[in-house]
Amino acid sequence: MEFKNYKPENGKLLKIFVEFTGSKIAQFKLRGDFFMHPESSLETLEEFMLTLDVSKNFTQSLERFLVDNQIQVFGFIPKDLYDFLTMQYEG
Amino acid sequence: MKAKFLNTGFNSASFNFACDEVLLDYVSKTGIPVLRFYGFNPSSCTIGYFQGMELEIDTQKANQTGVECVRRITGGGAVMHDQNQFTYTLILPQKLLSQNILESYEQVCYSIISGLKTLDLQAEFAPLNDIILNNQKISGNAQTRKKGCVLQHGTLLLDVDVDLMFSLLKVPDEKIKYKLIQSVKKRVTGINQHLKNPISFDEISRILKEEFLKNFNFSEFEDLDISEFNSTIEKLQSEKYSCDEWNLKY
Repeated sequence: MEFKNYKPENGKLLKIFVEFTGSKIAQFKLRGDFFMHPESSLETLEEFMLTLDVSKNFTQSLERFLVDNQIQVFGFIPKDLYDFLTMQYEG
Repeated sequence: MKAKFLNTGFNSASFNFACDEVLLDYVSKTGIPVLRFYGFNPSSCTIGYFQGMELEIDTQKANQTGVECVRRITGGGAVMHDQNQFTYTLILPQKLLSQNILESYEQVCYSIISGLKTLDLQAEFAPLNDIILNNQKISGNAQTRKKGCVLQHGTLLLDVDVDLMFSLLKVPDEKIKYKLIQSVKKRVTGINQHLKNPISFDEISRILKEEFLKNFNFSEFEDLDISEFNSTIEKLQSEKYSCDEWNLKY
């Protein structure tokens, strides 16, 4: 499993493993020195990511997911993940 | 409001984090804030809750040099702990701190900053979770909120063994480039490098205990006897913080 490093502007260092089926996220693991409250939300987030498609409302869907589940993240924002995943998807 | 205080001295990382978790339960049950000062012996690498152990730490080298590697319950980055650091844990009922997480970091870090001012060191809070002196990091802090409490712990570097630190931590180029620092070694400093006379663990403890008392408006600190928690700490240390199931979780 190869994790790639991504450092968003003003964010923490992220280490991400991702695989796509078309533009859909097929596998996703997120590591890094960010903060997430509550901490147990990481698995829920990783699971939710598998329902997303980078070409379809990715950022809005992720923002809504975080709000609905009362998850606070410090160190990256949904658009940071979108930027990284788009780069990976477009190769 | 009274608060409890304890100085547990220098112990292993697995002991220290078991102790934090047991004290979190204590605060959750009693509503009484607890401040703990401590250090790490043997030297240890700790990683943030969301980090991958093998992604961050050269564990083979750590094992060879007797360095314990442990996952924290808090987020943030990997930290190398040796005997030249001062470490604190403050645990409070959530209602005693700002509900805004960013603000609450600053509230707690302020006691470190004001303590350093008494030594004529003009340190600054660097959001989200650092304290810097002359643009170099001297303190990293991390927070979790559980069971109605906020637990924040942090390390203040008295001296830094940079070579040891970076021989075990895997620091990627991106982070270094982003912070526009030419050398990893220039990113951190110990406060003793900025003082005429080096300060000891005991002396900085005395200063910071006073600052926490003042800044949180505690009426006094009562000593908390760690011995009543020893068996619970030992159990948690052996069944969680010394286990791969926890430490290699991610």
